[in-house]
Amino acid sequence: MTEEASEGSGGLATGLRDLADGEPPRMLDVKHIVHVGRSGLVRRRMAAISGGTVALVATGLAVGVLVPAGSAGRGGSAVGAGVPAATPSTTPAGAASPSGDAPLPAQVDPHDPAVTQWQFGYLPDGMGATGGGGGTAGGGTVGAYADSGFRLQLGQLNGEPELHQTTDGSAPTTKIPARVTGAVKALWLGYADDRVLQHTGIVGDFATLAWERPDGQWLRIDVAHAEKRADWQEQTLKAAAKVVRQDRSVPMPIKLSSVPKGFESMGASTTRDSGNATAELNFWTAPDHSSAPIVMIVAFKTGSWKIGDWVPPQNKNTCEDSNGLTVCVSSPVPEPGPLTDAGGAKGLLGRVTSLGNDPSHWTTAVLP
Amino acid sequence: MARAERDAEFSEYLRARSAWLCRVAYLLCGDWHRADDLAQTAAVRLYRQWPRASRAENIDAYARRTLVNVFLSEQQSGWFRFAFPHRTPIEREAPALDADVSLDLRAALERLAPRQRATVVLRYYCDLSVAQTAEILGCSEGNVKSQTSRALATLRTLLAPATAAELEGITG
Repeated sequence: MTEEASEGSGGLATGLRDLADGEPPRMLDVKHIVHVGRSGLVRRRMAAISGGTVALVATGLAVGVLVPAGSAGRGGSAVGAGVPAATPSTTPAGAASPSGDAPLPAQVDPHDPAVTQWQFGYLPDGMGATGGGGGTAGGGTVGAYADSGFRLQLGQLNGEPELHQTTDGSAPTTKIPARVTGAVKALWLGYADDRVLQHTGIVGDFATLAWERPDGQWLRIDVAHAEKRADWQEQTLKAAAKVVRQDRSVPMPIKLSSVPKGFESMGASTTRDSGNATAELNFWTAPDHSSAPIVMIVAFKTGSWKIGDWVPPQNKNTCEDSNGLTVCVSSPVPEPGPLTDAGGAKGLLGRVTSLGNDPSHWTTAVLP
Repeated sequence: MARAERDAEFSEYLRARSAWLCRVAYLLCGDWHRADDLAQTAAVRLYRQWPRASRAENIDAYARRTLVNVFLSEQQSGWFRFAFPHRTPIEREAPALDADVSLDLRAALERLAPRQRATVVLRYYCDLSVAQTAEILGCSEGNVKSQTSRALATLRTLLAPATAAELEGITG
């Protein structure tokens, strides 16, 4: 132990070791990690080679995430998983199943740092899959929102979820069996005895449905503001049964005219909760990602959030209102060199275009 | 570096160190499932940076720094807090507890703000100096000292007397 750390801390070091060694050693899936790492490299190289001109699939995605809500009548709508959902669907809801089918063709725009890996094949009426995130900002998760605040957030798990261990009442302490058509196993977390057991101010009553596909992949849907919809369980189970595997870019409400030298995209995410858009674009500002200062571009519907809700408290924030959104550059102090070279926060803000709060104007051409 | 060679080197390293990486991740976040996620995200990033990481003087230090960065960037992301409320520690200053309620070390760590928790893990589990910790967290040594001091004071307040006695050195 170093001299500085050893002062009166031997017991704490032992306590931490006991805590960490309390469970059998866990092993990461090395093969999977290499596969994921390699696909990310390929995507980045393709984007670099394209020079901003190659898009595997981009046309139509700007409006493609808008589910024709309610178009299938009461009880929900089929989302065209094989094509952008705003165009006539060629994949009826019944065709997509969680049975480990082959992935659908990717719809990925290399100019968009937000790419999701799973898609809803069905959504309850009144909902649109307008959000999601890729890279470090979202981990490939897709979000669907109703104006009431009811929300379904779809993502993948590394395995059967454990119960969380928080003591503040905000995490599930129960899991009970659920029934998802086509799944090997399914569980409700945070829901038991016919009631939702978790609640926070920001997401209301919330619960998680987790299920295992026949191919072994575990997925989850986090339900927020369950209190807004009486049939939330039935609708969540139905949505889970129709989830499909597909890489797809997420349209965003902001775009950049140019990326400053020394900036490298970490990922991006967007939400549209209760009709209010948010977006987050994050950048490393040094080649060594293990220690690079991170600059964030954050946007939200003016008046719906405060910038302090979205960024580290120690950051310096510079904001401007544009086209119905408040757009901010948030950076560590001292300011990273590449940001200074780009004209500081004001200079970077000058490269951002706000596309407003209406998802029909959003784009996957986020980066040049 | 040829791809096959890169993959083989990386895989050998990760097989040897994945248990350690998961343990550090667990101490940072307090939940084994999320620790797996954090460690996996860090490992993917490590793979993408492998040509640089493998040349580092200390690959473990590079991996640890990457992991802490992944943990803190998740905590810092508004989207993450919004999308995963149940996976985000609720930050509190000097939590008020009933006098007769006290916590074990795991639960007490959970009450620390993410940067304080990272500071404690880096200094007392990873055995790093103030300067090394400051470098990883991208802050001044003074900041590390004050974060450490605040974290230890909180732990003292929260821990059960018996636990605190076992952890001699952080008892008052």
